[in-house]
Amino acid sequence: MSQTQGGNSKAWWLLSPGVGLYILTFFIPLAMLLVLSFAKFENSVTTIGFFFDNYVKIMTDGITLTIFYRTVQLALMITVSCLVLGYPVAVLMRRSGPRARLWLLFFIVSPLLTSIIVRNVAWVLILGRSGIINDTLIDWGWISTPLPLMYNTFGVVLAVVHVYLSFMVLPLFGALIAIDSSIEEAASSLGASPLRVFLTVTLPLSLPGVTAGCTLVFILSMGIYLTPVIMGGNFVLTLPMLITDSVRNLYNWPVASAMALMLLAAIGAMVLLSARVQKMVGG
Amino acid sequence: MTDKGNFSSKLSRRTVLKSAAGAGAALATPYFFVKAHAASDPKVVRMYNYDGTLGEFYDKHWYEPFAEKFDVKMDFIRLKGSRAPLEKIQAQIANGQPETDVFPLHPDQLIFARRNKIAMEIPRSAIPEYENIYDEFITEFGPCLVLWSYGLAYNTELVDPAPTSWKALWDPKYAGKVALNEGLKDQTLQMVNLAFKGSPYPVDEETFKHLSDIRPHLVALWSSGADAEQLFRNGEIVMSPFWNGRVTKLKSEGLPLAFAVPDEGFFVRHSVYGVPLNAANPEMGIEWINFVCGEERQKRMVEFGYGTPNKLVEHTPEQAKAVIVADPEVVKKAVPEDFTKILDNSAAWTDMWNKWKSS
Amino acid sequence: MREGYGSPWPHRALVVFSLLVIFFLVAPLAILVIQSFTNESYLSFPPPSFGFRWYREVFTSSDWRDAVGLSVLIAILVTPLSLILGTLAAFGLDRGPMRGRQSLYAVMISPMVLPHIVLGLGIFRIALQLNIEDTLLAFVPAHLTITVPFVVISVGASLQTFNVTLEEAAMSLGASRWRAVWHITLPVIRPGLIAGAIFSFIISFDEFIITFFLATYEQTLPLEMFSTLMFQVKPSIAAISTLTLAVTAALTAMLMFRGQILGGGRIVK
Repeated sequence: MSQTQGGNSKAWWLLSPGVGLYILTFFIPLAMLLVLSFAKFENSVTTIGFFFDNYVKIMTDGITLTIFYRTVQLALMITVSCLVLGYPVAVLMRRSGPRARLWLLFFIVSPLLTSIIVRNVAWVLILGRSGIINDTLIDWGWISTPLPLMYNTFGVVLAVVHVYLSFMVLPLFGALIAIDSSIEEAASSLGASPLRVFLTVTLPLSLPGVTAGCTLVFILSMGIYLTPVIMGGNFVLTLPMLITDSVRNLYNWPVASAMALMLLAAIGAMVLLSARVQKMVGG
Repeated sequence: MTDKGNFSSKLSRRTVLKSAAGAGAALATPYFFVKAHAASDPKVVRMYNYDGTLGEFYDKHWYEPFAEKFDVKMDFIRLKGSRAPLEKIQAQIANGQPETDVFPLHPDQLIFARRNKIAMEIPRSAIPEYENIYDEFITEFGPCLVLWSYGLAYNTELVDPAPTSWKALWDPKYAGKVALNEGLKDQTLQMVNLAFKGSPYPVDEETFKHLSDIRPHLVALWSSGADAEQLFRNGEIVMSPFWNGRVTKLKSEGLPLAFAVPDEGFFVRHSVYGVPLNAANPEMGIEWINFVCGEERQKRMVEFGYGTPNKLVEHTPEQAKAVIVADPEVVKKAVPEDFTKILDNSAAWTDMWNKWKSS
Repeated sequence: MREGYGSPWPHRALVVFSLLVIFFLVAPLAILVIQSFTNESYLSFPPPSFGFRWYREVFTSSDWRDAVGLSVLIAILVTPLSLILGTLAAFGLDRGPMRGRQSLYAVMISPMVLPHIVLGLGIFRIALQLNIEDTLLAFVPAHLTITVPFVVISVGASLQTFNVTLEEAAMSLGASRWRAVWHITLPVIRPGLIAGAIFSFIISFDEFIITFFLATYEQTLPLEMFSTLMFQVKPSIAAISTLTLAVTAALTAMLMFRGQILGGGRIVK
């Protein structure tokens, strides 16, 4: 019964309850979606079989792909915004003393643990038609009808960044804190300006964190449903919204399944890409 | 480790054990794990209900009196929106029991139900009250009730003169003060066609060209009646296509609103009340349908502002105006809709709609 | 240490920028909290008068009570189960052979990268097939799927700091394996367990889209908030949000200041 590096393969039995759960709630459901995505939905009736109709429809209807690109675009905007806002904070966290760092961390991490819908509610109360900003402006007589402050892509990006910023800062901070500060000190003692030190030492060494954070935020953003529905008025469409609409209003499970698998494929590609990049910057 | 540390870790272990035991006990309680509304009790009738005042109406006038008369309990599932969730009901029927004993079907849903065989055929003899229902409102699955109209709601103080055409929505005078409905967008598309082509079909490029024309004027695309209500209340819009029931309700609350039936025509829809296949308690479901078809229940519905197919119900002039469909002159303007076309084109129209939205 | 980063000017800019970011994160929530104490029937800022009117409304409304009750019930069932499944898996990964560990780890945390909409659609489908949608039999496993990975990660991290020889020492002194794990290992990985429990509770409590598919008759708190929000923005939504916020903020603070996230919780060996 030695517990050496090699380990005991019997220990893997401990995984069985978890794997059992996943089989029921994850693998079988995905398999069902896969089967459904090849079914045919004709005259309101679903026929199980091996048809490519749904995939052909997605590729050729001229709108699903557009919305897919829009979703990717939105996810990219969110990712970049998170990076721009999060990187300086992560740098400051690294430089701060333990106490300040703890406070910074508290404010950054708390969103992770705060209900997304609560955060969206907060934005609605501020930017909504009868939110604070509009109410105040109307009270002051500057405007007579509410401004559309949030029912657009901007509102969605804002609210999602608010929620996902922490997912960016944590990996960034992890990568930054791992950098040996003596390397930076050496560079700076050799006469490099702070900017040069940052650009040539700190930034490159933090790239694994950048990759990890961006991947995480991008993947999360690809699946957003709630925030665009609440914040986007009716003109911001994402693939998850199309999926929900197909099931709930068109009763078309096959095409919804095909779209879900398309989303999954995109995310899989992103994970693979990120692993490659990670190897490049980390190696 | 100090003694204290040991103590506290023991304590927490005990707490962990306790909460695990609690969870176990909860797990062992089957009550939590059966559907709260799943009942094979013949004394329980399960229904859908709506949010807001329509829901209150059903409660008070269509459910409670029935429960009292037949000594049964009515159990509700609140609908999200106005449509029964057929994607769920269909699977429930295939794998066991639907969640209710009666379901309301929009006309296009009726065709879906027919094709997928998810509603029970109810012979005419099963519903004695059919005697007083106009023939064209009886289907093989149940009666068409709750007649409502889709016309033009407008603010009587701010829209002058009163609109007589759908085209009033496109009037630059009201730019930034109008809205269209996205909930039931097929109505919107047909409305645009009525306004510019005189007939609800076909939905094509031209339809969307007119939508694009009005787009800069739009405050919102509202998705539920409650949304639109809010827009009117806040004074953000002065005109929108709307459903007559809500207008009646808002008027009664003192809002300066009116419902116009445009010259190009308007739409009248209804809900078919049917019994889903494999329902737990179909006898009581049918009994309820018969009950609400009766004159008394239909009268209440008319008082609330919706039309009735019951021949016996008489309208006061006021009611006739509110329910729209009681006035033969107005009924002439009702444009028949092709619900098979609507159902079969819903995917294509949704695609076109989304394309338009994201253009 | 700070002098190593050059002139104070860029540093000051960094501080100001970070404070602005934190303001961006915190201000909306602060406004939400303030608005929840309005005494008016509508939302305005700052509220003309303060009071507990909307809290009373939330506490007396059966809709809100039922929704909170169901959400708490689900979270209470999910948390211990999630800890058990996640901890077992973390142990298995830690003690199992090196070969294949990476891929098994990836499998165990894979639900994290799966968009919840896809998971929700799939679980909805199988729940319909098994005729269990709208029941705890569907809600609990569905929530477990997204909480277990967090326990695997947090307990796994704690286990890495643990020296297995301690357990072996106990066993060589005659303790059974279970006894050794119970008395030696569990106390050491307690920080990971606590973090995992808090994550599980909050994630389950906050879960929206999967439950959105599964539930019609039953309403969890996020679903009730969503439909209220779609219907009308009333101060009651601010009140219920503030209550949720208070609970989660307390849990977060507990987690943070006990050092569970900062790599703290080091046990003196």
